[in-house]
Amino acid sequence: MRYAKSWLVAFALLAIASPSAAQQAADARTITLDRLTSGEFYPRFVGRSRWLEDGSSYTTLERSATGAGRDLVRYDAVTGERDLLVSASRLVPRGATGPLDIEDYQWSPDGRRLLIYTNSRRVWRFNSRGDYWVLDLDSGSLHQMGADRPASSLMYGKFDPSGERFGYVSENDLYVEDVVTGDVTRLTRDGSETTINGNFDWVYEEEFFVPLPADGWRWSPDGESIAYWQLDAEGIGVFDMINNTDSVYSYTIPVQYPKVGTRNSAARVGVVSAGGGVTVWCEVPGDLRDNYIPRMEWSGNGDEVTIQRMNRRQSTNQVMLCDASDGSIRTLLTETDAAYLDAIDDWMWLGGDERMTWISERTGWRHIYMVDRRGELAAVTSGDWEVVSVELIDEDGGWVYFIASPDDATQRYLYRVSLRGGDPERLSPEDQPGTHSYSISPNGAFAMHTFSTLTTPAVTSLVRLPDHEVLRVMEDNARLRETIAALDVGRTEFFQVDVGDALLDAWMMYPPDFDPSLEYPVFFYVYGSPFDQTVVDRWDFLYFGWHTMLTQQGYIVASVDNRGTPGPRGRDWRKAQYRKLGRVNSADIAAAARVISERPYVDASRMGIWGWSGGGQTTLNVLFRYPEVFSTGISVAAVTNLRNYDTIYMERYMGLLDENPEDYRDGSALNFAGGLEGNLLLVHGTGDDNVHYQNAEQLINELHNKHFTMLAYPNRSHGIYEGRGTQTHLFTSMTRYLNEHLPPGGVPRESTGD
Amino acid sequence: MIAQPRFASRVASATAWALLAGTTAAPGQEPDPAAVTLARIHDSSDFHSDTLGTVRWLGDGASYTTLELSRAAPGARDIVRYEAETGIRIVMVSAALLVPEGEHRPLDVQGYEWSPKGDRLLVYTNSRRVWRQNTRGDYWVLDIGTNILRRLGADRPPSSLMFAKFDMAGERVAYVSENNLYVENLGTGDIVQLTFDGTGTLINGTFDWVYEEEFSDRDGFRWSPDGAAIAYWQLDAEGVRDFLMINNTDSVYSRTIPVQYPKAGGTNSAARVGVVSSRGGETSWCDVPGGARDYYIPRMEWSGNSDEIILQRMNRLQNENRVMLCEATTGAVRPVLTETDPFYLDAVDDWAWLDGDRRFTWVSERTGWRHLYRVSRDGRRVRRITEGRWEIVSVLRIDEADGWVYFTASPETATQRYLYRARLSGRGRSERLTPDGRPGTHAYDVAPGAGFAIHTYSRFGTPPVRELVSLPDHRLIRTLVDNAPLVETMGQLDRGDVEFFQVDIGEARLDAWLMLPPDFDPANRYPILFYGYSEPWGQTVLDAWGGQTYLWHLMLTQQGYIVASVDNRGTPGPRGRDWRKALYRAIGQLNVADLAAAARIIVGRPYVDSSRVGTWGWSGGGEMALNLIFQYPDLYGTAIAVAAVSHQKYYDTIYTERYMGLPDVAAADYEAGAPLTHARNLEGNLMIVHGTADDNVHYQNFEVLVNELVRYGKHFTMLSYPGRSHGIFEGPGTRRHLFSQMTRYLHEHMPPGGRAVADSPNGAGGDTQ
Repeated sequence: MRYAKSWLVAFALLAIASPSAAQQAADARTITLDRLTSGEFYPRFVGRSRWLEDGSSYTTLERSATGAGRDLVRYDAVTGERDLLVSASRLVPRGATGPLDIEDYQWSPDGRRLLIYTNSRRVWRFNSRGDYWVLDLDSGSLHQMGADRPASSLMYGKFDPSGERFGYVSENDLYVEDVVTGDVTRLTRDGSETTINGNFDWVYEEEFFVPLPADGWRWSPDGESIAYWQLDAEGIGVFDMINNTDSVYSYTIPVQYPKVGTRNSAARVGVVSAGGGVTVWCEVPGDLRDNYIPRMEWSGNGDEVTIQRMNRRQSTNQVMLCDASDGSIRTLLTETDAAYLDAIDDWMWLGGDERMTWISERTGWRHIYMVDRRGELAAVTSGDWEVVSVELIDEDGGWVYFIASPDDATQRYLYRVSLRGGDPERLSPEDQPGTHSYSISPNGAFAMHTFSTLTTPAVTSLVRLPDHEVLRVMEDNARLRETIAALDVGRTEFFQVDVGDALLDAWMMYPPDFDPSLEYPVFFYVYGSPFDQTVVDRWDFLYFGWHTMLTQQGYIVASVDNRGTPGPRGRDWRKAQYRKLGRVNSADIAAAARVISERPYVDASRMGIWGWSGGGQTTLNVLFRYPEVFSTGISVAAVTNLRNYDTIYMERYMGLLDENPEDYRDGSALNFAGGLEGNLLLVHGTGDDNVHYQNAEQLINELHNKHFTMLAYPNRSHGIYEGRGTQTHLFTSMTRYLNEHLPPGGVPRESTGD
Repeated sequence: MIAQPRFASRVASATAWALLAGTTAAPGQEPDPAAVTLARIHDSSDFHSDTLGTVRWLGDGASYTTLELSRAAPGARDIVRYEAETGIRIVMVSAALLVPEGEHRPLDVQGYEWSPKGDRLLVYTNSRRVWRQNTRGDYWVLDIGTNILRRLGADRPPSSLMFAKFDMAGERVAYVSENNLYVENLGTGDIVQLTFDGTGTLINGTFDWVYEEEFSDRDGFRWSPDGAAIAYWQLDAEGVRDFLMINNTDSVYSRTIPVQYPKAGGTNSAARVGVVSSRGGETSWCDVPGGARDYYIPRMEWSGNSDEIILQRMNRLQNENRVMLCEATTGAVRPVLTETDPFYLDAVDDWAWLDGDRRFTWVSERTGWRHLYRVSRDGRRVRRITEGRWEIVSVLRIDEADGWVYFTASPETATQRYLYRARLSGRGRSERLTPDGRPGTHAYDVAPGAGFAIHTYSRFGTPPVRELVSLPDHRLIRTLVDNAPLVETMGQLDRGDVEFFQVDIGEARLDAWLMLPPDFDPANRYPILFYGYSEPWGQTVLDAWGGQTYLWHLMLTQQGYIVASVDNRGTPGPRGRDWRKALYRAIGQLNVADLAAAARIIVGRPYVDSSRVGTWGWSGGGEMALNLIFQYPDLYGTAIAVAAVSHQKYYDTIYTERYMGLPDVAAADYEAGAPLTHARNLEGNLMIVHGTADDNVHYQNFEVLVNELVRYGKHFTMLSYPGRSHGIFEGPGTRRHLFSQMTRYLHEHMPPGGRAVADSPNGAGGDTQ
C-alpha cells in the first residue's frame, strides 16, 4: 500500500498554473487555500537526466529554443559545457507537424540510437503504456517501434546490449524488433487478460514494485535471450468499481485484485531465445499460487537467471539460480524471519558471475553482504546501524556507495565502504543535517546531489565524489525559497517522545506568533504503517504548504513515527507491528499525544489527527480506540477492514487470514467504530482501485448511530486528484472542517479549564 | 417517481444516541410528554398508528373479513368475519388451520383472497421484495370444507409466485413464476404451464421496472369472466439497457445489481397483450397497430364478456390514448375511443363495464376538468355522468343495481377529500355523503352494493380514525380503530398554530400551510423551513395525517422553526387540467418560480427571519430543493435535498417524457430545468443525501452533482448511504441517523429560535454566513 504516490505526479501537473493576480496581491506572509493549490509551493526538479556510460557527462531534456518540443542536451560534468545532442526538430515524425513529446528516453549502449517514449496512458498508477520511437543519430531516421501494434500499447521497451534490437511488451505478449530492418519477432502468443507475459498483475505491481517500474522481462547480457515473468491470473478475484458519471448508463471498472486470503496469480519465470522459440521455464518447486517471485535478474552471465522466491507468508526468501537451458534450479541462499521479509533490490553480480551483493537483516540490522556461488555470506557492513539503500556499486574502484543515517532515523546521508569491508566513510557534508539523495555517475566520480530539510526546499547540485565538492548548482529553487522566506513561519522542532517502552521520533511546527503562555490546538499528521515514515527531515512539497497554513491559523502541527514505521532503527523496530497493525501504531501515537498534550502550551481538549491511506487507517484507529485523547480526525482513503486489502501487503504484515483471523479483526478500525466520540471527517474516492471505496461504505454502515461527516469523490482514485477543482475542494473542505471542529488559536490557560 | 418517502416502521437500537441533537432525555429522566424527539419518532412506539388488518368485503356487501391476532396461536393471525350491521364476529379461519403439514407454526398471512364461492382461501406468505414491493412469494390454498392446506406451484422455486388469482369457479388458480404463466387445478393438483418463453428479458404476466414504477402495473394477467382463457401482457425487454448499481458492503468483492431501466430517450420494452386458453396452447396476440417499442399498453381488461379484451394504447409522448377492443380468438383490433391532449394524458383506471358489456365508464379531462363519462361499446356515444368546474379524484364503487357511482372529490379546496355519489344516468347533481363539520381527508372502502363503507378520517396533525359507516346516510355503526393512545399522545404535545391558507403570487393562488412554534411570539423573527415536492406526482399541502414527516416538522417547530409548505402549479390537486399540466416541459422552471414567489411573500411576514430561510424535499422534492437554492440564492440560505434528480435525462422514459417531452426534442427544457445546470450558482448551505442502491433515482444523480459542485469550488455536506434505496430506510438505525443528521445540519446552518426584530434585520439576503 503506497502513500498516495500517484498524487505526486498529479500535483506536479496541476502546479503548472500560473499565479493569478489575486494571489500576487495576497499578503506574501500568509498562505491561503488559493495559494496552496496555485503551484507556488511546488519545487522545480531537475529534468530527466541520464549519466552517460563513462560517467563524465550526462544528458537532460530542455525546452527547445525554437519553442516546440524539447531538446536533448549533454553536459560535461566538470566543465558544465553544454552541447545540443538532439534538437527537437529532429524528432518530427514523417507527416507530423510537431516534434514528439518526450516523456522518457534511453540511449542505446553504443550511444548511436535514442529511444523516445511518448503518447503514454495511465495503467492504474503510472503512465506505463505508450509509443516508442527510435532515432538513428547517424542517419537521422526516426522510426516508430511496434507500429502495427495498437497505439499506446507498448510497455517496458529496451535495447539489447548491441543496440540493434528492441524488445517490448504489448497487450501481455513479448516482441523483439530489429531496429534496422524493422522485422518483428513475436516471442509469446498466449498473452491475454489473465495470461500476462513480461508484465505483472495489479497486486505485484503495487506491492513488489512501486515506485519501480513493474518491468517483467530482461535481456540476457549477451543479447541472445530474454528472461521474463509470466503471471497466470486466472481465477483471481475481480473487484468491480462503478462509474456513474461519464455516461447516462453506469459501467463497471474491473480490477484484478486478490483480497486477503484469496487466490493469487501463479508466477513463473522462463527464458526464450530472442529469435523466438519455446520458453524454458524455471522449475521453481512448490505451488506457484502460494509463492511469489518478486525479483529476477540474469546472474552476471547468459546461462543462468537468479530469482528471489518467497513463500506466501513472505517469511522466507530463497535465492535460486535457474539454468537457462533446461530450467533446473538450485538454491543459493535462504533468508528467514519470524515476521516477514522484504524483497531485495540491492543485489548485483560482480566479477562477472563470481559473487553477488546482498542485503540481510539477519543480525537484526540491515547490512550489505557478499555472497559467493556456494551461498557463503561475508559481511561488507556491520554494526548497530543500518544501510537504507545502495546507490552504486563501483566494481572497478572497489566501492559501494550507500545511504544511511546511523544517528538519526529522520535524516539520510551518503556513505561509502570498500567492497572488501572496513569502516564506512561518510561523504555528505557534516554541516548539512537533513536529507541527502544522489544520482551517482557509473564510475562514482560525480553525482547529482539533492539536499532538503523539513523547512527548506531541495537544492540539486553536481558534486564531485568522494570530496563532495560542489561543481555547479543545477536547481536552487530560488523562487520557492523567496516565497518561503517571505512567509510568516513559526519554529519547527524535531524531538523524541518517550512513551515508556520506546523513544518515538516526532516533529512539531509552531504558529508564527506562538505565545508559550497560551494553549494551542495540536493537529497530528500520521501514516503509521510499515510503508512510510512521516517524521523525516525532508521537504514535503505535498503538505508543507497546508501544514504551514494551519500553523498560521493558530494550530500546532505535529507528527510522530510509531514503532513499525520503516526508519533505519533495526529489524525489531520495523517489524514491531507484525500481526498488530492498528494496535501498535494507535497505541504509540496516542501515548505520544498524551505526553505532548502535557506541554503547558498545548490545549489537551483540542487534539486532532489526520492521515491518508495507511494514515487514514491510523487516524480511524486512534480516534475510535483513544477517544479521550483526540476530539477530531480526518481520515482520507483509509482501509477500514484489513480483509478488504490485497494479499501481498496485508498478509506480509498481518500473516495468513485462516491462521489468525482474530488479528485481522482486532486490527480493523471497522470493529472499533462504536468507540467514536469525537468529530470524524471521512473522505474517499469511489474510483480508488487500491483501497476500495467499500472500506468507506462498510464503515458508514457501522457508524449508523454516530454523527460523522463524509466526502465521497466520484471516480477519484487513491490520490483523489482527478478532475478540475478536486484538490482545492478537498483541502478547502478539510480546512473548513478543522476550523469548525478544532477551532484554531491560542487561548489563555485559565479559560480552557484543564 | 415516488412522491413521498416511504416510512418503513422499524425499531432500531437506540444506543449511544443521547449526544445527538439533544433528542433524548438524560438517563433516569422521564421523557417530556410535550416534546417530540427523534428517539420518540424512530425508536419508540409512541407515535405508532394502529391499522386495520387487510379487509375484504364479502360478496353480499353485508359482511367483511379481516386479519386479527390469534388468541389461540400467539403471534399468528386468524381470519375473522364481521357482520357489518351487528358487529357479530366469527372466526372463519383460525391460525391453527394454517399450519402446514410437518410444521409447527401457522403461515404468516401477508395477503389473502376468497374464492368466489367462499369455499377456498388463498393465502400469500413468505414474500420477497421486488424493487419496491413484496410482489413474489408463496401461495397456499385452504379448502374450507376439508381444512386441507396445500402449497401452490410446489415445484417452483420458493418465493417465486406472483399475482395468484382464482378463476370464476374457484376451481383453479393462475399465477406467474419466473416470468411464465401457470394454471393449477385445485381439485387434481395438475399444473398447466401456459407460457414457456419467459426469461430475464421476456416477461409474461408481469412488467418491467418502468411500467411498474410509472404506470403502477404489476399484475399482468386477467382471467376471462368464463374462466376459459387468460389475457396477459408480454414485455420484451431485450435492448432495454441495464443500469448497474454496486453493492460494496455485503462481501469482500463487490457485486453489481442490474436494473432494466430505460432512461429518457432510451429503448423501451415492446409490450403486447394476448389471450391464451387456460388449458394451454397458442397465444392469440392483439394486432395493436404501430411499432411495439413506440407505444405503451398501460391498461388492459376483459370487456364485460369473454370474447374481447379492451386496452388503452398510448403513444410514446403520452398525449394520445387510444382505447381498443381486441377479439380474443383472432387478435383483431378495433378502435373505440381516442383521447388527446396537447400536453399529456394519464392512463385511466376508473373504467368499468355497465349493462354487461354494453357500456363502460371513462374518465376524461376533455372539458378541462376531470369527469366521469359513460361510453357505448362502439365508442360512438360518450355521455357525461358528472360535470362542472370541479373534479373527480377517484371512483370508489359503482353500484349498478341502484344506479350510483361513488367517488371522492373536493370541489371547494384541493387540500381535502370527501365522498360523493352521482347517478350513473347523469341525471341530477352530485351529492356529498361525507357529513359537514368534519373537514379534512376522508377515504372509503365502499362495500359491494354500497350499503356500508369503512371510512378513514384524518386531518393535519390528527391521526386517522377508522370506522364502519352505513351509506348513504353516513351513520356511524362502529369505530374500528380509534387510535386512542396516539390521539392522547398527540394531545400532550406542545403544538403551535397551523394555518392553511392561499398565497396569491399574481398568476395563481397557491395552497399552503404553516406550522408555528408552540411558544410563538409574533414580536420575534423565526427561521422558516419550506417542505415541498412540486412535481406532478405529489401534493404536500394536504389536510391529512402526515406521519413521520409531520412529526419531524412538529419537532422542528418545538425547537423554534416555522415549517411551511406550498403546492405550486403542476401539483396534482383537483384544480383542473390546466393547473395540473402547467409544468409541461417546465419542471425545474415554473414550479420553482411559483415556490420562490410564494416564499418571498411568506418571508415578508413580520415574524419570519429572511436571513434564515431553508427548504427541503425528497425525490422530486429534492430536485426542487436543489433548484430553489441554486436559482434563488438570495432567498434560500439552506437546503437539504434527499434522493434528488439532478438532471432529468437520468430519469426514466415514461415519467420524464410524459412531463418533459423527448430529450432530443426538448433538450433546452431539460437543461433549463436541471439542477445541474444551475449548481455553479450555489451560495448558501447545501446538504445532499442519497442511497447508493436507489434503483429509481440513481445515485449517479448525486455523483454528477458532486462533480459539478467540486468543479466550481462549491462547498456542501453530503451523506451517501450504502445500499439504501430511494426510501433510505434499510438497515438498523438508518432513518434515525438521517433525520438526526438533517436536524443537526439545520441547527448548525439555520439556527432555531425567535430573535428580537432588532437583532435580525430583514432584507439581508439568504446566506446565513
